Amino acid sequence: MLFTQFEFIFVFVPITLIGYFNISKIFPHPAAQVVWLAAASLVFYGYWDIRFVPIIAISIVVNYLYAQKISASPPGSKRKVLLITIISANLLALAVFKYMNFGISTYNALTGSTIRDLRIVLPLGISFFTFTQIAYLVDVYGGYTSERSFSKYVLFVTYFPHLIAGPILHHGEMMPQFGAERNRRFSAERFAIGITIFAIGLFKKAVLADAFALIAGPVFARATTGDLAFHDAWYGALAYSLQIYFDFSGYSDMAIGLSTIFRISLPFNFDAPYKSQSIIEFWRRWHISLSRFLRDYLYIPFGGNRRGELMRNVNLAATMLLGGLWHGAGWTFVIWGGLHGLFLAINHTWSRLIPRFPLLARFSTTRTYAILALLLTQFCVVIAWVFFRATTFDASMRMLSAMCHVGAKDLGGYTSLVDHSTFAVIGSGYLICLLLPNVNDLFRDLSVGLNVYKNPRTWSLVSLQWEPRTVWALASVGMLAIGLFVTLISGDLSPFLYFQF
Amino acid sequence: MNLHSADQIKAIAGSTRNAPQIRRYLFVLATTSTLLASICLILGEKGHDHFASYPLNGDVAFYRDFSGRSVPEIQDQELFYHNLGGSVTAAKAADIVVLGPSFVSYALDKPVLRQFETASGRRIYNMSFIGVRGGEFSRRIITRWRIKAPLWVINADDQFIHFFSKSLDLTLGPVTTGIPATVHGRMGGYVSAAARNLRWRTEDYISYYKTGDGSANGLYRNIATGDVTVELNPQYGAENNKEIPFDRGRECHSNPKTIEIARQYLKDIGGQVVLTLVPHSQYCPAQAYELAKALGIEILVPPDAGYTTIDGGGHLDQKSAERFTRFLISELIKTDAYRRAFGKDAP
Repeated sequence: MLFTQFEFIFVFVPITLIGYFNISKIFPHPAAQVVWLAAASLVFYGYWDIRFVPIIAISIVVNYLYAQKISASPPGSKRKVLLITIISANLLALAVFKYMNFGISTYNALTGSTIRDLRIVLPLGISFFTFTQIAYLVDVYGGYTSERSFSKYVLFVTYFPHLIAGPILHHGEMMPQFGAERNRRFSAERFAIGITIFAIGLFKKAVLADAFALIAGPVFARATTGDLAFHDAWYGALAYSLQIYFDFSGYSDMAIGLSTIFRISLPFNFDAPYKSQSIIEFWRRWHISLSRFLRDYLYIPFGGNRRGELMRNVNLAATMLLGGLWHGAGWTFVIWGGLHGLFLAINHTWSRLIPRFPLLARFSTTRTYAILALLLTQFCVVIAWVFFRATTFDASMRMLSAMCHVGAKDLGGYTSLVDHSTFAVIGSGYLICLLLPNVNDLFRDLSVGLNVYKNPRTWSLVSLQWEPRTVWALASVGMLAIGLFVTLISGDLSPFLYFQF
Repeated sequence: MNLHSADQIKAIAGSTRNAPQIRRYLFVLATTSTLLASICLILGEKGHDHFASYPLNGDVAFYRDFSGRSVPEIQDQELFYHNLGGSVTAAKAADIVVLGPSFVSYALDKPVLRQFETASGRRIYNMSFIGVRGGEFSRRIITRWRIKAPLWVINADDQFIHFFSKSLDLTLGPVTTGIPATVHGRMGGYVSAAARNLRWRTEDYISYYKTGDGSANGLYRNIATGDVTVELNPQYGAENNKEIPFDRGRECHSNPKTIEIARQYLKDIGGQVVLTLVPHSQYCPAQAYELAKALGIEILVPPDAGYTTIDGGGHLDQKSAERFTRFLISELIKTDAYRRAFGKDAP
């Protein structure tokens, strides 16, 4: 089920919600609510394809049993062997399901072989549920967690608002919430807040993201077969930047809104990333749950910044390369990750240089510098998105060539792909990103999302704060209605971008 | 925040707003939503066959079936497979139901059928499907909704895919896909059909805004008879359509697998069955005769000379459709199957 599907909104959510808050009247033990929500989450997952359910079920049971064994083992080599075994098993499963064909195609390209791809169905969300479980195992090994409830563990892995496309949850912040006494009763306020955030997310996804997809899709499709004009390439790349932001952050908002209705808080996953004035800041605001996961489970174990600048840059590059590969089984994703690793390394070096030059240090505090930094950051992000979106390396290079006017057909004119109105649409998209407050700002005083980051609040043209007023209710209904209408007429054409990851 | 730090949870699902404010907020939310939904439902259902369906120039006896200014789409698969609107009910009420692909939609001449209905008092329902060559889709609809026609007329064609096959493919132009209606539930059917209608309506509004042309387009289907408005295609009534160049040297035979599927098919649908074959350049009476013989049923194949089509393929034009339908009707009433279905003295 998609969050935008009518079956989900009008059947699954109401039944799950009513059952969740009423089951405790029949079975007072908190586990009843946890089991109900876990069962509903498995139904949600199985609705995609029932064949996926045994895969996730086996993954959960095996990982849980190993966690128990690790926990029961005294510190020493046996404990370590258990951890290495189960992590290897997880990575092997991921390799088989997600990366096997990527490996085959790479092998074929390198050796000239013609080994056929295997017919493997990629279980949805496998990257999400594999890595969250690896994190749990590592923390059990490290002694960071003492929670051992199986039902809570199942719900932690399968919890439907995050299961398919995140945010990436951490057991330490989720499992204590499941069945917690303070969250067990229905709250009208949480329901009102949740439904409003869901409406905002739906609008962002169905209306904004899918509108930008209409611009970006044809441009990137053309890039796979032929040359592009300058405007085509730039508008396509900018439109995709907006598409992926509104798509993914809209999805995250919907997930947070849904979870709020159930009185379970999820981490905010975005915080105005396109207002960032550096790549370092961008990664503190973009896919926050992934960033902290990469930091805590890859970058820091690699050594982080503890062994000098060179090793910090190497660790950053390695982390981002793996982060790229996590997003998709393809070299374009690796290049995307590599580029961000490179940008981060340059950014760190630049940050260290600034204080050494007083003039530069003074300039760095000016508004002009802030604008230039924002534009440069956005430029780097857009360039990297080209690799992320293009289906092949050649297509990426065609896009970039056209953006640099190298071999582009026409610098001045428009083709059938874009026109003057496209510029206005893209401009409007960026104005929304830059001038309006985001969900985090709108609900900043209401303890909606988990407080997992400490980004300073960004500047917005208008300062809005949600209040339970009529105008907000009408606005929510308007966004829901428009979002549902657009979802309805666009049919099955627009699955969320992050489902493949 | 470091994931391994001590202070893990900051968000507490507490209450910060007073209850009357929240109640008013939810009341406005609920009443406005209900009001909007009610208006949409009333407007969408008003005088339509199914939600927001597109009547033909105000005639609600027809719904738009095949359209799409950018991407062509077909509506009837959802309507029949999920029994939306009145089509399945109309098919259930018919005495004779005709099955086949779009060849059949074009080959049945409406005035001739209506003459027969008036004279005989028997209702004929055209349950052919544009884009669907295999008969498995029809079989599923028939068994799913218990359509029990006394007499079935089946176009036993074998072009690309035999009617008696397990194929559930939909072919539109060069693109072949699975039939979407078969992979989702009834609620998905409602949503899909409504979405298609709203998409077509939106497209027409946009077209009108951009070009001044928001006129009716595509093909429409009659709810009561299943007839498709093929006459809206100007080529259908054209006088200069070319004669079908029949490939008479084509080697084709029935096979045990097809016969087995056909046997099961007849068992599943019940009633009496007569096979026929709409003429087209690749049509192959030999296999159809062999099949009919193996099944022990009658077959009506018209002489293959002089038929003209709108596209040089298998879609008959108006005059050939009239000829084919006259042949079919005149021969059908002579069959034993017809007499078994409607009695010895049936007109």
